[in-house]
Formats: sequence, structure tokens, C-alpha cells
Amino acid sequence: MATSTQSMPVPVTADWQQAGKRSRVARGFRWRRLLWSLLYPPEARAHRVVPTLTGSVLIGVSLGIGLAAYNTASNILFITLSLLLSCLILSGLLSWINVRRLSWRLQVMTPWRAGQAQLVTLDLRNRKRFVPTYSLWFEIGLKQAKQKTRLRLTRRLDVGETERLEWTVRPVERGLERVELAGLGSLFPFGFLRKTMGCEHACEVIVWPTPVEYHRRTEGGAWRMQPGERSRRVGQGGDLLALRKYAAGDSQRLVHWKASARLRRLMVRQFSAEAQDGFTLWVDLSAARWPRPEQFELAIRLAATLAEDLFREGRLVAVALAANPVIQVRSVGDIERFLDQLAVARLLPDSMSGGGAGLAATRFGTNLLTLAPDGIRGVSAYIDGTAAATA
Amino acid sequence: MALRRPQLDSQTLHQVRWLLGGLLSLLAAWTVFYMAVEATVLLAMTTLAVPLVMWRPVLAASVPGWVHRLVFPAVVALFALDFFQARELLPAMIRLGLMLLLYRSVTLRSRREDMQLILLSLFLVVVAGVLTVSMVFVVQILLFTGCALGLMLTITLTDPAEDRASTDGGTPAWVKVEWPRVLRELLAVANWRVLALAAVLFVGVLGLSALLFLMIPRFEWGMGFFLDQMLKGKSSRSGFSETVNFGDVVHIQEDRGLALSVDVSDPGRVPATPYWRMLVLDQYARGGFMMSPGLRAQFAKPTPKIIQHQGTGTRHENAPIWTFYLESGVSRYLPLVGAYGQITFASPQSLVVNDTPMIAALPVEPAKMTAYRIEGMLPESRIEDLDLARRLRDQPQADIALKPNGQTDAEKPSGHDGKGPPMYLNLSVSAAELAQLQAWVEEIGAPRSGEVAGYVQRACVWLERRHGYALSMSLLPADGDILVRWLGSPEPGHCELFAGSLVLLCRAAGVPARVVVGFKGGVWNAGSGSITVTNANAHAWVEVYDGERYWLRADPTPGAGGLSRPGLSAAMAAGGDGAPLQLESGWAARWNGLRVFWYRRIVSFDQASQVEMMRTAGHWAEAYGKRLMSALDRRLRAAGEWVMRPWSLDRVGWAGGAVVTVALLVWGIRRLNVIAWWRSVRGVDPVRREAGRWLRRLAARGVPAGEAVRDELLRLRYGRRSTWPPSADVFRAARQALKKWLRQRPR
Repeated sequence: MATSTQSMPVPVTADWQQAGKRSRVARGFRWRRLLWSLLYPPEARAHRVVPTLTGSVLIGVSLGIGLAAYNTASNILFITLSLLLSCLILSGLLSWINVRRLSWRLQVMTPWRAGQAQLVTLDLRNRKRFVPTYSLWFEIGLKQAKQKTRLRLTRRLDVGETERLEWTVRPVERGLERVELAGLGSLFPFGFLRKTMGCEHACEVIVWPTPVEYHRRTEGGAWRMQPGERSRRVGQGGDLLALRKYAAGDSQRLVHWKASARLRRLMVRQFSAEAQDGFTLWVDLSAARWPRPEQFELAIRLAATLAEDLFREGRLVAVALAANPVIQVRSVGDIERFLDQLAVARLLPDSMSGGGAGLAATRFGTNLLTLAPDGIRGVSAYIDGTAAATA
Repeated sequence: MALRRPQLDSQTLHQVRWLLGGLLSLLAAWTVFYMAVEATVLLAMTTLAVPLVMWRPVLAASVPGWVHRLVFPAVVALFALDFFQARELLPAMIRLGLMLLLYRSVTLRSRREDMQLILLSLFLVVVAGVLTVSMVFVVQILLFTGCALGLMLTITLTDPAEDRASTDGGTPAWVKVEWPRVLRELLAVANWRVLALAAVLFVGVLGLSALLFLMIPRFEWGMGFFLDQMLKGKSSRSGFSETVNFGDVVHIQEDRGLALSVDVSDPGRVPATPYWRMLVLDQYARGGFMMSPGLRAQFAKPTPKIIQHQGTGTRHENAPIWTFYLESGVSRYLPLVGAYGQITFASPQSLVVNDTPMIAALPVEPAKMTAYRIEGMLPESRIEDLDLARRLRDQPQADIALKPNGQTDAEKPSGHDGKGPPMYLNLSVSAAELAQLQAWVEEIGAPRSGEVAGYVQRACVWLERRHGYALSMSLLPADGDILVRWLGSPEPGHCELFAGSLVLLCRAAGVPARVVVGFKGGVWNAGSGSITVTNANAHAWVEVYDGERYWLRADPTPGAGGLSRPGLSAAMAAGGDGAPLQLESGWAARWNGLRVFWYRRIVSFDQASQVEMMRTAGHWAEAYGKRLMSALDRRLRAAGEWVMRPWSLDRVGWAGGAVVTVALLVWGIRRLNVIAWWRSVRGVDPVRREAGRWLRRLAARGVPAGEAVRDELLRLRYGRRSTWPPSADVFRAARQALKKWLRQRPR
């Protein structure tokens, strides 16, 4: 079984950026920097113009015609040469006009989950007053995943209009991902010159681990519940335990509308847990525990999957990662925080991993859910030392 | 919400691209018409096939695959065969270009093949321009530039992925084209701003090209290898070659095209009827005159490629400077009006000169316009020939006995090469015809000793009395010499018959004579300030030797006046004004004026012109700068004097008032934030601006308030964008409301 938490997608949006605008990071003036920038413009905002094959042919033809013109003093050839050079200059001018006052903005919808299709959108806005923008492409990519693509603007972007380009991406690994707009380019208007421009534009996204298929073991009785038992602990049971103030991430279904109206603030209901079957999930990140990286990755995926499943079942009390502070799970926000930590979790030296399972048992008490290698490929989850699930 | 302009879909872009490619092919192919290249079949095929396939691109898609595989070897084989047969590289290459252009135009093209089409077209247009140096080149290259840029723009706008998909396999969908629909879509997409910008940019390109043309540094390597030398000239329209048959000059006169344009630094020195000498023909054969081997032998060997050549004639120091623009296809002989001091070419030229009869020629007939400048030349009606005078002195007149075949002893070929002196007394008539000629000489009045001018004048009058002028001759074919038969008939004739007859009558009387061909007259083009000579001015006349020193010009054609007055050139040399030329008028004059401008300012633009232009610009800038500085200096001095004058209460008041006004102005601008207001006004949304315009218009016309359209206009003007109704509908409704009100309101 493997499911995932259906949290609300949250847009992560970068600011509008405009062609030719300098970076907001103020840097002191240096003559040396200025001279170097004349020779080799900074990558981030440089307008680079490189002749295409067509442009190279045109330059070659111009050189040939120029040579013939000087050889023969034929003004017909000088006229042709002048026209060819003018066309090159016109091409550069139109290319500059085309990207002038063009703004763009990256937008990604989080959360991302490794292995699942995600949408990256690029909004374009033409802020020019008279001239549309045509035929552009944007080099966009994921830095960690080393995925790149070219988003093309094939339609005319009229004055004042906005266009949205979309890229469906499938991140392969968990972690901190950076969606980067590396630059924009254009062959507009005549295809002689390839104009490229660097962009300092990026969004950072956390990619949660991919859910994994796992098997719950019932033979050891680790998952067994005590029927009829109630607890004063907050949970997902049917009995109303208390009222508390609304916190970000609480479900709207939990809002107690009468109390909210009376107290003039949003109040939510707290229910008692069904039974004393709440678990504390602790993930050991010590390198000694996980000598094989693929097993570690599987453990992270299993931890994420178990956390989400137990949270949905209302049986997750707290989560902790190595020596990190314990997160008491009360809302979706808490579980998302844990998934964020899992996304960037790395193996740690033993001294930083928060001790072994024994120490953890002392720290968290009973119903402790831990993970350990199972054979050379598998990973098992243990509840108080009893095997509970295998992936 | 404002209506969005429609977008051209990929199919329409492909169709526009196809159309532009076809137009480009036709334009490039038709330039071959202007070249002296035999490509009639290919041109006809291109002219028929390209428009057809352009109209129905589905035909191009139905070309079977094996044709594409066969085309390349077939074209190579045809080119090899063509070159093997014609032995001329450039014409073969032009035909090769035409074949490839035809193939590319009638088959579906990818991006790369579109670029090939553009390059082939550029090749043909440029070669045509170089070979013809015609003003039409400007039109051709401008059209080419427009079409090629449009084509490349559509290539850029077409999505490369779709482009590949359309050419990779099968028939693309866009080949099923409905041109009226495409036109409608183009009209719908057209936007006046974009069109205006395109027009401005195109004009900008032309301006920039002109600037670059003027500013590109010029220096000459003088290598001289060039395309026009790889191509034989057009078949001469003039017939001004070493052999001129009767009727050739009349044939030229039927062509109304331009033959030459002449710039003269002092137009007052040009007589009303200038004679542009090109060629001297001395040997008479039945049916025409030709240049004898003896006369040909007088030509010096072709000079190496030179820019300047010094003439051996009398150099007139105060003579005007003549710049000739000789059109292609006229002749390789250069028109001259007299002995010259120096001839200068625009580009290195080889020259063939015969200084005795004052003839200069290029080694081969040029395929393009030839420009040359002549200094030290005055229009002359006589040519000095001391060599003939010496020969006549050495061999007394009595010894130059006429033989029945008309050849004198002195003109017998001598020497190992069989070439004698020029045949100025050659007759080539039978004994009976010679007797007839001598009888006519007696009738005219044979020249007494040294009385050549009188005899020639009498002969001209005699000819004019017996024959009228006509462009055709209706003499029936028969045995015997044509000129003798014509002289014996009352038939009218053309200038060649008159000139030939006078030559025979002079030679029969023992007076050396020769036929000269060239142009007579011309008109003054006031627009360009140059003389225009057309092929209709082609003419033949006579030069007779006065027995002492000079060849005298005699024009026996009725109305021409016979023998020219020898004193005219002396008067012209002294600076006396000649009679003015006739003025050229009408559209032809404007076109010829433009052509002269093209030759003078564009084709002949060289390093010296560039230096002169820079110098003029420098002088202008210097003068303008001085004027500006002096004006500034004057103002400052006046202001200083005003300040230094004793101050009165009035002056203090004026000065204080000015300072306060300026301060108030600055404060007001800053306080009221005028600049920000101006920016906001300029930056307002066009829909809001248009709504405001309509509101003002309705208010000005007194349209009653309460109209629903006014509310919608107010919403467009001030309301949130999300609440806007469709703006086009609102403006339409406002227009209708205004019209309705104007119709209904009480007058």
C-alpha cells in the first residue's frame, strides 16, 4: 500500500523580471569590472548575438561581395554589400526591439513529489507600447535533475498581453530542486543572428520522496488496537475532546461554527484518539545504520509513505529525524514539515544521528516506529522492535 | 475586454512563405532578360511553371520521388554539356542558376532549401546588376530585399518542429490553399502600427545602405578581372562596327533607346548640332563601307589596362570637361567630338587608338555602360591629317590615277603583310560606272586646283536637288553598283546613301573622302544638366580632305547644310557660345535625368568622389560651427553689455520678474508633478484613451445624457479592467448613437 497526502497546491512565484534590467544586488563600481564586462559581458544579463548558419552564410557572401567590390571598384557590388550590411544591422535592431520591455515570471505549484509529473509555468508579458513580440524561446531547466527544455513562444504576443508557457516536468529524486530560467533566445526577425540573453531567474522547490509500495505485517501484532479504549490524547476519534483556536493548515471541516460565532474567532474541534495506537516515527540517519545508499533512499521513501498513511489514519503522534527536534503531528502542516525534512535528509555521522534505537526508545517511549535494513535491498519498519512493515 | 487580433496559424504562414518564395524566383529569373545570355527556353519554363505552382502548391507536392533523385545528375550533366558547347563559363553558370532556381521553385522546400533559393536569386540579381549597370538594378535589388526579408521572417515565425513535419513525409496540409482566405487572414492580422514600423524600418534600411555606400572606404586594387569580361557583349544594336551596310544606320534610328549621356562642364561650348564621331570607314564595297586593312593597320596595339590616356591632338586648354556614359550594345568605338587631350576611365581599361583619324575604341564591345571623361576637347568640324598631306605632296595628284577598279596606285597593298595605306580614293566600280560618275562630276563642276570646299558644297546641293530624304529606299534589285544606280534615279534615300554618294562623287573627282558614322545632335536635359543622345540620333556623314591639312566635315543629307564652317571650332575655343541645344521634355526626360544621376552619382562614385564629399561635409560643418559660435558669441556679448549698463528701477524689475517667473515655473512643475502627469497621460491604456475621446465627442455634440453607451464608456474610461464590456462593441455603439443623434436632432 502506498498513498500520498492530498495537500493543497501552493504556488511558488518568482518576481516579474524584465529584459535588460540590472540585478537588484548593488555592487560597487570597479573600473576593472567595467572593462572586463565590455570584453566579456556578465552571463546573467548579457545580450549575446551569434551568427546562425544563415547568418554565417550571409557574412561569407558579404565578404565575397566586398572582396569583389574592392577588386573591381564596381559600385553595384558596393550597393549590394551596403544592403547586406544594413540587413544585418536591421536584424540586430529588430532583435533588440523584440525582447525590449518583455517581462517574464516563473511559477511552480508545490509540493513536488519525485517521479510525479509537475507543472512549471512561465508567464510572459509584453510591456511595449507599439510592437508585438514574436518567436522567442526560453531555456528552462532543473538544476539538480539536470533536465532542460526549450519553451517556445510561437504565437504573437501583442502589446500589453500576457501569454503562459507550460512545462511538465518529472523530478526523479527527492531534495531541494532549483527551477532555473537560464536564458531566452530568439532568431527573430530573419534568422541571421541568434540572440541570447541570460536571466537571473529561479524558483526553489522541495521535492518530496516518492511513495513506496510496502507490506504491513500483522503476524507480530504490532498494529493491534485495544477496542473501546479511549484516550485524552488528541486524535482523529469520534469524541469531542476540546476546542482550540484555528491554526493554519487545519481542515475546514473541523471548524466549530457556533463557537466561532460566539467567540468571534475561528475555533476548531479537537477529538480524542480512538485508542492508544498512536505511533512516533523516528528515522535514524546514521551512516552506520545505512551502509547502502539505495537502502537509505528506500528507507526515506518508506518513512514518508508511513508518515502520510499513519497521519491519514490518525495514528501518528510525532515524528523525528535523527537528532532534530520532535514534531508533534497535529495538522497537515506538521506532516508537510516532516516531509520537507525527509526530502533533504542525508546520511549523518554517528555522532550527529541522535543515537541508536535504544536511545530513541528511551527518548520517545513506547509505540516507537523505527526503520532498519532488511537484507541487502529491503527496508523494514519496526514498532517497539517488532517487525511491522516491509518495503 | 478588448478584442484580440487574430493570429496567423502555421498553415497560413507556410502558404505566405510559399508565395514569397515564388515571387522571389520570378523576380530573380526575369533579371536574366537584361543579360546577354541565351536562356529563352529556361526563362519561358520558369515564367510559366512558377506562377502555376505558386498558385497551386499541391502540384509541387505531387512531384514523384524519382524526379528528385534524378534532378541533381541531370542538372550537372546539362551544365557540363552547356559549358562544353558554349565554352563560356558565366553564361553556363547563369543557366545553371536558372535551372536550380526553377527546380527549387516548383518543389516543396524546407528551411535550408528556402535559403538556397534566396542565395540563387541573389546570385542572379547581382550578376545582372554588374553586367548591365542599369538603373533597373536598383528596383530589382530593392524588390529582392523586400521579398527575401519577408521570406526569412516567415521562416523564423514558422515553428521548426512543424516545418520538419511538413517536409519529412507525405503531403503537408498547407498545400491545399485558398488564396482569398489567406488574403482575408492577412488583412485581418494587418495592424497599422506594425505596417508603419515596417515601412519606417525599410526606409531606414535604404537610408543606412546609402550611408554605408557613401562611407565605406574606397581604394582600388585594379585587378581588373571581372564578370563582364567573362561575357560577350550584346549583339550591337547600332551596327557601328568596322563594316556598315546601307540601311544599318536607319535600323539604329528605329531604336529610340538611350545611346549615350554626356555631362559637359560648360554647356555653352556645345553647338546646337554636335557630331559625335565614332568610326571612320574608307573602303567601299558593293552594299556598304568598311574599314580597310590599311586603316586598321594604323591602330596602335591595345594599351595595357590604364586609367588615363594622353591624346596626340591639339589640347585646348580652356576646353570644357566632357563625361560620357556610353550605354552597352552601342559600339566598342567611343564617341568623340574632336581631338582630345586626355581620356580618363572610371576603371582600368585597355584602349585601342588611331590618332590619325581620331578614333578610340575598347578592345571588345562592353557588356555594360562605359563611363569616361575627356579633357581638352572642343567640337570640331575638321580633323588635322598631316600624314596624308605629306603623302599627297610626295606623290603628285597626277600620279594617283584612277584605275577601272577604282584603286589607285598609291593605295595598292604593299609590304609583306599586304596592307597599304587607307583607301580614301577607292571606288570599286566598273569602268562604265566610273564613266557615269565622272560625267556627274563634270555636271556638278569638277574641282579646280585646291577648290575642294566649293566642289563639295556644289555636290551636296546637286544631291539635294535630285533626291529627297526617306528612311527607306525603294530601288528595285538589279545588277550594278547600288550607289551609282541610286544616283542615277530620282528615288529618295537615307543618310548612308547620301554620304556614300558624296564619297563616290568626291573620289571620282580625285578628292580623298571617307564615311564617318556616329551620332548627330542630341537634346539638353535640364533636369540632369546633361546631353541626351538616343539611337534615333544615329547618323552617317562624310569627311573630305582639303588637299592641304584638314579633313572637312560635309553632311550631304538634305537639310544638314552640306559642308560645315571650319571657323566654328576656333570661335568655340575662344569661349564663344554655341547655339543652344534643344530641350528634352516629358517623362522620357525625367527618366533619362534619373539615369544620368545614377551614372554620375552612384555608378561613378569613387575614391575621389568620396574625398570630395568628405571635404564638402567638413567645410559645411566648419562653416556652420563658425556661424553657430559667432551667433552664441554675439548673444553672450549682448547679454554682458546689458548687465554692464547702469541699472535702473525698470531693469531691476524686469530682471527680478524673469527670475521669479522661472522660479515659479520650476516650483510649479515640481509641485504639481507635471512630468509624472505627462507620463501618466502618455502611458494610459489605449482603450481608456479611446473611451475618453468618445466621451468628449458625445459631450461636444450634445448627445443627451443617460444613454447606456455613456455608462459603458465611463466604465471603460475609469472602471476596473475586469468589469470592462467588449470595447469594440461599446465604441461601435457610441458611433451609432452619435450618428442617430446627428440625424434626429432639430436643425
